[in-house]
Amino acid sequence: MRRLIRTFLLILLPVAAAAQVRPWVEAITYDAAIDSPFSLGGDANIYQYHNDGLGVNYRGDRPALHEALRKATNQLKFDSTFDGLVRVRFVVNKAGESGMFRTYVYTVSGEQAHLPAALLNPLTQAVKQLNGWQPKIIRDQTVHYYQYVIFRIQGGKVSHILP
Amino acid sequence: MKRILFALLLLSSTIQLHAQPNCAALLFYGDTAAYEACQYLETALKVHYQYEEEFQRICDSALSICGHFAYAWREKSTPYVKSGNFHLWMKYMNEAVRYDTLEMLPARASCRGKFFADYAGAIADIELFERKYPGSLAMAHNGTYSLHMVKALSYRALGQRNQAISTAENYLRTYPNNIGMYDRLHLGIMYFEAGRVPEAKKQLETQLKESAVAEAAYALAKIAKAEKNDDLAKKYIRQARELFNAGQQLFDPYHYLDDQLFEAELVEAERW
Repeated sequence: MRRLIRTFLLILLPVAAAAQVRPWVEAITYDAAIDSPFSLGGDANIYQYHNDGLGVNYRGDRPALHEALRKATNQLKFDSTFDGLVRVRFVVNKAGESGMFRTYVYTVSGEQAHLPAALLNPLTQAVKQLNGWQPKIIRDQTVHYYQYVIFRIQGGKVSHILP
Repeated sequence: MKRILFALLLLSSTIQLHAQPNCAALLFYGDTAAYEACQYLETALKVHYQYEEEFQRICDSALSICGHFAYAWREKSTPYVKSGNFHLWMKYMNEAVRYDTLEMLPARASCRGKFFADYAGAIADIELFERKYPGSLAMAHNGTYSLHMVKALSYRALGQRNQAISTAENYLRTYPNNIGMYDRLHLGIMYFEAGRVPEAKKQLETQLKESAVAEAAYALAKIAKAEKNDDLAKKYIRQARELFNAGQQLFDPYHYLDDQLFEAELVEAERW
């Protein structure tokens, strides 16, 4: 089944490749004022995590990813009335390093929202300290790609983590 | 040379991730505005990838021809569901649902859970669908699960296991000819978690027979181990490894899936 899906997705690859040279929505550009030093090595093309059709690529997969994120966030206490989610989006470069983190807050009805920095920073930090992202290869070339982590927050705590 | 290659790539990029709308059908139903928007969109989108800003502008142009063309709203929403932008995805998907509820509500329901962990929202959408279209069988956005199973898995994600089991049971009983590829696997594992071992075995064995995936063999191995039947556990683990290595396993290009088995878990089980 997995092979079948892969074959199908490989057919879709030219779509992704073609788009690289034009402006994309949800693009992140390096901002020296907020970003730690992060190298794209002169290649500004950044793919999406799903463009290789091979799924999430984290060393140790979900068990390792969730364990690291749980450990870093399970002490956090949120306002119990907040029902929403926090998305931390970033870039994984060809060396498997992550950088250019951007954090967004939404209510469960889809509105943009705010959370105190004292709660938001540890969530972003939890994602920054992850060290298992693997580089992705598209058409025999190692590429940079966008990835994200979503924290679902309800009942005063992180209830679910994606991916 | 690079430009020629790029032009060739553009020409080859005609495949979209979901089905094209049937423009002729819109004309047949007398919706000429939607027909025109559809014709325009079909031609213009062929050379653009969903993440391109130009793709958004083309959708906007189609919507200026016909503001109630739900398909264009859904197309607008697509890069945002994949990149995790809940705000813009909801904004555009809500419009799609507003103008074509029957077609778009199932997709909004299933994406809410899978991409945003909004399981209560998914259940609310499915219940809305059930009220509006009683007796209709609809599938999730990617066709893997029926909405009934999405509902069952959403209850489970919220910790409501009994509700999850009865929802799945009810679906399998009502639609014995439409059982999804992994439905028995999930139900079997939920039975096991609830301590209902004979029912768990029955579902998982059937899953293994009808649509063999590593996860079913792995779950049966866990049951055998719990029953202290080490030989049987080992046999199932070997089978799980074979299936896993052959790619016969749960897989999704966007997310990890419920009950998906991973290499580290399999390696651990092989040490039993």
